[in-house]
Amino acid sequence: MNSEIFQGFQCWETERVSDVINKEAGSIDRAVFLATHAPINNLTYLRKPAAEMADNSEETLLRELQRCATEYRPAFVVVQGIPGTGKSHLIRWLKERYMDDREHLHGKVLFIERAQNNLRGTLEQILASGIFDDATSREQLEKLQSATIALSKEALADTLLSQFHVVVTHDSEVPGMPKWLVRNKRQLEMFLLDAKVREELKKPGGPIERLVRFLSTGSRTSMERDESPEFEARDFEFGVDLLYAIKREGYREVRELAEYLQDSDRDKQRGELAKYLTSLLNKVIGRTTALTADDLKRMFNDLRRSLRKQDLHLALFIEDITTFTGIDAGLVDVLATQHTGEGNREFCQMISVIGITDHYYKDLFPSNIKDRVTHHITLNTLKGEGTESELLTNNPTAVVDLSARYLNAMRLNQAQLNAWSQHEARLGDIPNKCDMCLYKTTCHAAFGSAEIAQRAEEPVRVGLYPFNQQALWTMYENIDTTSIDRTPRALLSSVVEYVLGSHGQKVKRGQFPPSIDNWGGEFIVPSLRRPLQRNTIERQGGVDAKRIQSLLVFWGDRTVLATQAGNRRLLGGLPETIFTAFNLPFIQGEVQEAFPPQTESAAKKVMESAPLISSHTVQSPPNAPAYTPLVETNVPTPVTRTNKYTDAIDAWIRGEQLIEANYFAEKLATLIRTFIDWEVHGMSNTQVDDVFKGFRRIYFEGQRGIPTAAYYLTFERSSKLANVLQALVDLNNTNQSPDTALLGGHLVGLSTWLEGQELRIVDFVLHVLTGEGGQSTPSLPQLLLLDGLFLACLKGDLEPKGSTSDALLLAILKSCFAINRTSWQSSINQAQQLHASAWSDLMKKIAPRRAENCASNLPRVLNRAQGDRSSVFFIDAVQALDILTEFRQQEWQLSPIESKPNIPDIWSDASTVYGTLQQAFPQILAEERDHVQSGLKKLQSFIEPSQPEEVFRAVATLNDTFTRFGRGHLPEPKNHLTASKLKRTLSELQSILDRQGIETQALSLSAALLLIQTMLDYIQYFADVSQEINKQMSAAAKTLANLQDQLNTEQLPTLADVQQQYIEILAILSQAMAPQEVGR
Amino acid sequence: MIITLVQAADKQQQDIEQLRIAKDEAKVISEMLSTLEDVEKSTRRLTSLYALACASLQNEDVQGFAASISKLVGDITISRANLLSEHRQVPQLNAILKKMKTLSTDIENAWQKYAIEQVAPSLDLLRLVQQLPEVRSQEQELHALHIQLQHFIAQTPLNAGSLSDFESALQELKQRLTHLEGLNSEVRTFLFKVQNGTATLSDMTEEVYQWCRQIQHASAFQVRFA
Repeated sequence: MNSEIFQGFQCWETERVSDVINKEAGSIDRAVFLATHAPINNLTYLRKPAAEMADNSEETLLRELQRCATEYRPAFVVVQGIPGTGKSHLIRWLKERYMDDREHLHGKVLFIERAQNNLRGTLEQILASGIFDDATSREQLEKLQSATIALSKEALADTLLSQFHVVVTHDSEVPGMPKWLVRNKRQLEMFLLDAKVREELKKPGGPIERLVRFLSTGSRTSMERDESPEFEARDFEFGVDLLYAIKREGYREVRELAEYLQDSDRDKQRGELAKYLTSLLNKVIGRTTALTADDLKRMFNDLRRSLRKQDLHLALFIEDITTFTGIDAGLVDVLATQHTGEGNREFCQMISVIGITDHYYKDLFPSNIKDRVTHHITLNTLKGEGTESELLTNNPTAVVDLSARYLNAMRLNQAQLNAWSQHEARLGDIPNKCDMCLYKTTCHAAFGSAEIAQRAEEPVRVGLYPFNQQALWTMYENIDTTSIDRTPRALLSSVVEYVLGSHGQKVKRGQFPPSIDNWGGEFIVPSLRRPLQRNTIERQGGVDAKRIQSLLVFWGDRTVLATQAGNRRLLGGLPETIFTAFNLPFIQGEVQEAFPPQTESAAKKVMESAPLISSHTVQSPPNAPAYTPLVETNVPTPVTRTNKYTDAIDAWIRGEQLIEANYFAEKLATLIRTFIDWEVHGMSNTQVDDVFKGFRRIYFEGQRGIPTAAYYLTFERSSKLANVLQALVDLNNTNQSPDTALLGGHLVGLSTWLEGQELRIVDFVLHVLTGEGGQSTPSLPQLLLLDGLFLACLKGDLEPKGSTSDALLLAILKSCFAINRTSWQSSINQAQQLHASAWSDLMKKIAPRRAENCASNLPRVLNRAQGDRSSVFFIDAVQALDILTEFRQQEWQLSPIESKPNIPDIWSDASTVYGTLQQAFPQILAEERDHVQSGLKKLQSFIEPSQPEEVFRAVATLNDTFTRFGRGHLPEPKNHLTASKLKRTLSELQSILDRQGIETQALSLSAALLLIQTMLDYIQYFADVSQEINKQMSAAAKTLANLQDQLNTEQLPTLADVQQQYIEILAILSQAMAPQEVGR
Repeated sequence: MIITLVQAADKQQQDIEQLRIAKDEAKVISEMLSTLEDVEKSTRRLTSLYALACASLQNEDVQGFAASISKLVGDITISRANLLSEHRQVPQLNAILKKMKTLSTDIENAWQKYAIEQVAPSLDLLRLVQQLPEVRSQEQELHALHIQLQHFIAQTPLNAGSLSDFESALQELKQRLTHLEGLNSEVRTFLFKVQNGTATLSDMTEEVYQWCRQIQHASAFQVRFA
């Protein structure tokens, strides 16, 4: 430290931070406690006696307790509040002061702190107090000691589980037991005995482990919410391994209950089981410790009887009633039992002050007892949901006051405090380290101070260094309430202790405050009111820019505006002294030139409109920044742009994650699409739109979440980009009237940034794919045009005649125009009939959707706007012809590409089709040629060695023969199948096969669709004819064989036999007619 | 390939057709032979009957039969001549067969008429005298002759032997009846009328009376007068 300059000065010992800030009031050293206690003057009473109390201060409450004691009146005070609101602190203070007033103290005081936060600790405190030693029986004391021992046993968990089992088993009335469980009580009994289940319940974080911790060991972290232990529904959501083990080894009842509870819709049942087991806690703890609520009640009653006889009263100060869990019912009963009334006159008067959490008071505190509470105080704010401390809500004075006391205690050593404590510990006498400090004047003027007490006529003012009131309040207000509540404990722990403990030592090294992206902790770092001022800070602050920003957003007014206060220059409302103290350069900042220089009166107005703290107790430096908005002042203030996007940008530039990244990416994508003249780069809007559609292709370094696309453009974290994003936010904020100067600045910034990024962005759009082996990557038009060429070829839309590039392009475009999902599918079906299987297989690999997309995208990427008319387009034939000419020169060789997942749809379709074609096309040409050759050979085999005319004639003749002999008819050829056409077909097929060169072959085969169809028709016809002839011949062979058999087996008569017969007959007749004697 | 296949198929069809024709021809010839066999049988019967007719019937009848046979010969000759061009002559032969059967029936009818004419007087006389005591003694012989003659009337004798038998039986019957005593014409008339129930007393002449008184002829029959 420089001995002359107030710089790098650490006026506290680091180890004192944790000594002083002990969050458990009962554990704090008495001197520290008294030195740090901030008087509470605004207690909220939910109930209090009709007798008037002067005010709502803690002093009045103390006097009320003393008066009750004096006037022999009962006092049953309940201090309710969420954890951290200061219940313990108030009770501890009441107890300390109550005991200090020896004049009124005619009784015994029992103070049960929450330090160990477990029943065992509570019992030990009772035993250690010795208060019961003479009052109650030896047997009761032994019970208490036994209970303490029982709670310390290692087997406590198993004991508790066993007691749960016993209670459930013998709980005949089963009050609170869910109906579905009443029917299956046996299952629960077995469940609690099962070894696997018990292990699960006992595992770290499990309900039994939590209970054991609460009863026996205690833990600030585990029970810091001051809640009583209980079962939770999630305790019965078992993992797969456990369920499997139960299924394999468990009893049927255990298995059934475990399975029943595991169904996803059984959350209600799990909750009911948890609630039921929680309701058994008292019984279980009672059985475990052999100490019941009745035992506790009996002990206290004995004590009160004893004290009554001595004419003494009993004062109970209990920080948290939940530390009596298990026997708390007995304690509550004791508290509610007054010393008045017929049956209670044997008891002494009792003053009790009990700390109770909201949960306990609402759910566990008996309703009939609530009526007996004489003073019911809440430390919660009544406005919200009970998640804030009433003491500090909207009260920066209280924040500063509380912090100042702790800062003073930390600056003092323990001996100094003890000395003060031992001499009545009057606040007015409290030592003030600032009084002994050389830099007091400078320090207090710059950082401010708070009055913590009055000493004679002089106020005791404690400096806020290294904070100022704005820093304390900003940090407190920015505590992240998603994880912790905003309470005094949070102020001490998350602000004062954290900042001094984690960063305090950096003061000496000149590194305090830490840079904006290095705070950590549990409060959110605010952003600059005007994010673009970040540039100014970076420009002027150099290496210290981020620390300066930290200083400005916490200590200052969150601007970098330079103003004048008298003859002093302020930066962000802070004087140079603060910068010097933290070894930071007092940069120039920004001056609002549009307005006259700020006068002292104006600066004064700032102070008036934003007083530090209204109370006289806190004195802010004259330059103190306001914690209320500056807009009410006459000081020219920048437009506030602290919307969530601005905050996100600020956080990002500080090194945090960029949230709302999709919003920024979408806006940036729009900017990129519209600002760059893409046609200059040979790209159509379609191509660009597809890449920069939505937000997926843009990734910001350090954004929250991973990129959703594999293909994306990364923008590195930079202040320039942050400015661009801010500009986009501002330009899109239509609710805000345009600030022409700001807009102008934004436009310049955007233009400059885009100019710098244009080549990179264009390269990104152009080269979505990476070529293999260092080959150049095809452009999108190239991909789509070649896709179109091959699609047209496969579809059969190309012809070899006049195969110039012009003709080819025309044919491609014509074909693409006709390609849609339906037509492509039809072409696939047709190809399956006509082409080689490889040809149709390749077509099938190209999904109709992709074919349609490629076909429709081709003209779109080749489209160019005609002149300035955006509605009229023409095809960029030059580009297309260049691509085709080059491709033809390369003899239709497709260079390999590597396709990427999650690239833009247009690229994805184009590259997928291209990749498919590239892999298969050369092979399918060869196979298609084989297919044609095979068909030709087959056809020729039907004909040769004859001529087509002879074949057709022979078939016709045979057909006549069949007809003549009644053998039916041969298949009729289709009309177009004639001998002469067959001759031409054979010739043309041979011509295709004779073609050389991949292009000629591809075009010939593409155009050969009809020819192949005709060829296949001929083949089919001849095959049918052959089949029919063979069929007839087969039948004829059988007939022939039968006839031959028949004719061979018979001795056939001949015509000669017939002639002979005739001769014989005629001979007989001739003989009969020969001349003879006729008649008589 | 197609041409070869067509040729093979065509040849196969031709072969089938040839075999089918051969089969049909065989069937026709077989049918012809069967029919001719029937014709031959009928011819043989006809010629037998014609020979009987020639031997027993009147000349004019025989000439008629001869003319019919000549016509049949002509028909058969024509059929035979047509055989070369039309192997199947079954219908023609059936027509010839029908004519033959008609002619045979005609000859048989002529024979029956002739035979009945020859046999009837003797059989009438036999019926008149069959109750006479002197006839009764040769009753069996006469009956056998009667049966034999009836058979030849029903069954035309188709050869010379049968015809001779017929004539012999007729001759024997006649002889036996001729040898009966006193059986003159008056007695025969009277017996005829008695047999018909038309005899009256006027028919009872002396000669008839004496014949009746002779060898107790009157007890052999009763005379009833109308």
